[in-house]
Amino acid sequence: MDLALTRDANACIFGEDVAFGGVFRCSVGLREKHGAHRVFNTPLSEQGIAGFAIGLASNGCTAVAEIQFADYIFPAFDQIVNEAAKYRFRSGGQFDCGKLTFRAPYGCVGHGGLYHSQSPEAQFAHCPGIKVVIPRGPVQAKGLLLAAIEHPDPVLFLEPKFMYRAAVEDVPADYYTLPLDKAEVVQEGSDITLIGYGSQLQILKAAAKRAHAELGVSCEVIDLRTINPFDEETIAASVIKTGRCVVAHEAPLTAGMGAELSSTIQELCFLHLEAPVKRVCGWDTPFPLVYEPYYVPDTNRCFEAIKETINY
Amino acid sequence: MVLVCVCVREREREIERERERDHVMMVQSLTKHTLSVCERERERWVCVCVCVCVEGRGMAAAVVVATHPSPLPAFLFLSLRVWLCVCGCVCVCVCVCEVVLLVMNGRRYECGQPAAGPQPRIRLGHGFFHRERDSEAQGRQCQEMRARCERPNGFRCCPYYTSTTPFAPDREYKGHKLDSLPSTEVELTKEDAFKYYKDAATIRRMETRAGESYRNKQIRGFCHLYSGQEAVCVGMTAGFRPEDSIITAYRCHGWAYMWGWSVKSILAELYGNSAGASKGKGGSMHIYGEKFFGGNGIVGAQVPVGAGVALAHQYLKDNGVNFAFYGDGASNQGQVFEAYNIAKLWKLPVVFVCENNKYGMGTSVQRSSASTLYYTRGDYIPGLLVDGQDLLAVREATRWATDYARENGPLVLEMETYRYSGHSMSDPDTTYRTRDDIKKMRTDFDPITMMKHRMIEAPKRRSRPLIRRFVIQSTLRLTRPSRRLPHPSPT
Repeated sequence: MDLALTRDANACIFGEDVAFGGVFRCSVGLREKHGAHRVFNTPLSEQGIAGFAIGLASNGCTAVAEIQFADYIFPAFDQIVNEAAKYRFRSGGQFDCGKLTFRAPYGCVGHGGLYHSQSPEAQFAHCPGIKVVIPRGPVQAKGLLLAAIEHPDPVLFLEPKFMYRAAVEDVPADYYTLPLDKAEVVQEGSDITLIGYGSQLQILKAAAKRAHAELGVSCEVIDLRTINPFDEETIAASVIKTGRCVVAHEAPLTAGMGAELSSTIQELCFLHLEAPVKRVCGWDTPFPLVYEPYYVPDTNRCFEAIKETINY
Repeated sequence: MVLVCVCVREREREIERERERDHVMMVQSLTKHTLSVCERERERWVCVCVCVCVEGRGMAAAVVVATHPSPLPAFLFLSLRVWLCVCGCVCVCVCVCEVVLLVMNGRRYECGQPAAGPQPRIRLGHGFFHRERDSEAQGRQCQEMRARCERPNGFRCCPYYTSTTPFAPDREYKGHKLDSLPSTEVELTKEDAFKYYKDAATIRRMETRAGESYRNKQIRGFCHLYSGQEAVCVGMTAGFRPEDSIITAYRCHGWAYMWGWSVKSILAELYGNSAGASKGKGGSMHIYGEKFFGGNGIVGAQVPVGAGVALAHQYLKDNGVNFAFYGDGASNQGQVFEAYNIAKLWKLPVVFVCENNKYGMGTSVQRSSASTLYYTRGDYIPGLLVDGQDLLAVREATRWATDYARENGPLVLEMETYRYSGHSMSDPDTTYRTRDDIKKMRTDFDPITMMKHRMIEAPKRRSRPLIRRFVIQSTLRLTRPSRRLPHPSPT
């Protein structure tokens, strides 16, 4: 964000408590460096934040709005879906709020409970006009965020809050971007494709390692990166190669990204599939407090899914 | 003649005393309180009189059991004992203790009767130092100071964050579009006083214990402590009627306690055990009860729901009033204003209560709100500002508010209060206020200390040590077993 602010003189970062650094210390030091008129706090109203960001972006500034937790994005849902996503379409191209990025921490964190652990990416994926981007680690986060800020479309950048403290990587210090609409094949394989995003990648990699060790199965792990629109070509190419697929995410099963992915895969790769696409997801309940370890798709569940799909 | 008189006395006194004491506040001593306390003292004695006749003809003993109240006046009673000496001699039986008793007690009261005269009245503090509630000027000045400030955390340059307490609660009621205000003279009985003190102290101990448990990682998730704001929940609960309902946000432990959940069930809920108030499934933020609609995580979302509960009260004609609580941070949510509009339009029996504890997580009220006069935010809804650290003022305002809401529709109350701990246990609480501020508020405006000052009339041996011992022991006893309780069942 520091680089984005340096590069673009019209960029502003705002949200609840960002001035002192934010609840996850994402904006530490920015206010001092770039000024209080560019990095500032907003009052506690997400709908206001979203509307304000849309207005700012549509009039020439670059807006980076932070929603403190993705669970709080629902008051802003109307603004994002009905205003931000449709701005360019409804004005026939005269106006757009492309220079707009919403950032929100999402996902389970071990002790979040109902309202600090939700994954709303599927609900926004259902809305044409807005991109949803989820990084899997620090290197990806920096590149994707800079790309999202630069991108001429409104982007919802969901950051897995579990990774804030857990992930450690060597990140290049300069400005770089990663392509937004491409998925990345993190690990090559030949027997089964594992698709996930965000913090789920760590779990999928661990499950792949265990599958290789115990079952001798070579897994291809794909990071979606952009949830909507997702990269159909990479996924289709991979599934055609392997013939089996497992999709994993924390969000609830029904109408999650798993559903969308499996339906697209069966459309594009039907004759190449050896087994149905297996979805390993959260259960269809509100996110629990004490039962979180049973709710999230952890390594064991992913491994079982791999085994089931291989043995189909 | 030898007279032996043995008195065995059970004493339970009933004495009415009136004293006037100066109520010394830490900053200025301006208010005087008149507090009468009725103490009961029951006298019961067993008197054994042994009369020995000088002539040695025999001994007569009379055992007289007398209890107070005696149907006969004392002197007659005395003479009765004389008369009962059966040896025929005239003996004068003088009970030493009886005499002493008579001498000591100037007046005697009939036990079982309420104390004579009206209940004690306490005058609520007023004339305290007023702070200019001009948020615009403060906010502007603050911004200028901070823009010029070279320190990394600009807030320390702002005068409103220095060690002089920035938030002295206004000690009198302030109304917005109101013709009358609640009375500033209240009654307080001894039983009530002890109950309020005990409840507030229990909540304080419970919250402290919850904080310790969180630091020991026995409680996970989120824990928003109510320390410092006890006067609001204790005072308001004292003013509610049985048909009233409440709905609040996530800082709900104090409300859960006042609504009848035991300390054990609240702490069990925080631990996530099945003995908890929501069977361990909700956690700290989601505790509910009969006519207590929670415990809600999303800021501001409970206010329109509260208006809906009030609509149900109106529809069912059960005379209930709903109190919808929110904080200073939530008062800027759009849905709060939607609730105001609907409540006023349909004349709902709802009281919107803003618990203004001066900080919305890390943002002070001057930096988050264009208008910090939260009791006026309702605009077309009348509002009342109450000193939220004064339990009795809160109680009086609540009683007044329930009557008002029943007759006239919605009302906005602002409780000016303060929280000692951070927003939640994950909030380090050092980036937006100084330790000195918190300490100053603790010494000067602590609700429990204020209540204690008001209860000074209670006998020394019974007030402080008994209450503290009781509260500490019972809290400790109740906090320990929770960890061994089972997890919630899957149903």
